[in-house]
Amino acid sequence: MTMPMLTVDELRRRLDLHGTDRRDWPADAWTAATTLVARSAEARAVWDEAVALDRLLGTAPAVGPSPALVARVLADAPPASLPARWRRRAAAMAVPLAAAAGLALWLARGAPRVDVSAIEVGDYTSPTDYLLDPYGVDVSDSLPSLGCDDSTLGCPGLDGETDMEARSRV
Amino acid sequence: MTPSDEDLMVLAGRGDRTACAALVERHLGRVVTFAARMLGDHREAEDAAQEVFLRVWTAAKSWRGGSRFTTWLHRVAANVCLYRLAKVRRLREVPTRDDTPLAIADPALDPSAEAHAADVARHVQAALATLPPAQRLAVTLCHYEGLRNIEAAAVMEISVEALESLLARGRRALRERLRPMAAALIGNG
Repeated sequence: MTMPMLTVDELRRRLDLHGTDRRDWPADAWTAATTLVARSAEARAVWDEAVALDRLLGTAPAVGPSPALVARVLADAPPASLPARWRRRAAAMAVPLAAAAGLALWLARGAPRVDVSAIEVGDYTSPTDYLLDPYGVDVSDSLPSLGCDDSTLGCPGLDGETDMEARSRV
Repeated sequence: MTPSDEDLMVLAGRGDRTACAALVERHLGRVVTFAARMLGDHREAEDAAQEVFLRVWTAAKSWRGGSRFTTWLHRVAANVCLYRLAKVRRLREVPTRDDTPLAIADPALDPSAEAHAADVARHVQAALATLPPAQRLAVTLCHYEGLRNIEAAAVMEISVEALESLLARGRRALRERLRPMAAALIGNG
């Protein structure tokens, strides 16, 4: 494989692109450049100028932060939170605490009151009576009618009379 | 074992003050220097650095360690500085290009080497300030932050070719501006 040839102009262009740090050069171009610099005084001058520019840029000193800036930056930092162990313990206690608080509130308010005036006294003696007598249901409709087509069995009529009583009245 | 920046970010997000202090100690100085080179003003650089760290603390709360911290930090610092430069340019509306080569005092005539070094640094900073922001950022990342071209391209979220194009134009402009000083350096060996 032949090594690519480099002209001085090409060297200058490459130095502008990649600088003088070997790591930023393609390997074959770097080899060609160093070969050219070793052979040509003009190429050497171009190379030296690029190195001098790098050195000049390196003369700009680093500036440190002022103590006031350090204090301001640290003051902006996130606030310290509870350690993870404490956060887990707090989470574990949250459920029973909430349950206890709910119970205490319920006790403080007392049992729900029933408005007795809304109940027709005398019709019902207990809540069970009310439940067994749902509104709109006719108890007599729910009586079994099996066999009542035969009048001799004395099945009750809708008005409470037996067939035999009705017939005797007729 | 020294914790990594990424580990410190996770701890900082939980409010660990020691981790916050370690991140500040490791990176605040670099961010201030970077911002000073980009903005050319120390006070403005400190304000920018504080803004950068505000973003660090915000990100720490949800840091998952998906990217390398230093790359991410450079990106944030670059964006903060570019935004500030754009704002300043809008306010001032002054051209930043000036191709006049900088003249410096002959170091042989200067009795104080320290004063001479400060003079050179000031001229270099002035030359850097004449570059358009994108070129200045590329030069700052590669020359001062020591990033390789591929890393600087990742920070700027551009291709390596685009970065090298910015670098080439920046280097050419700086070489023209700093030619007298570079010649003096070469002459002094």
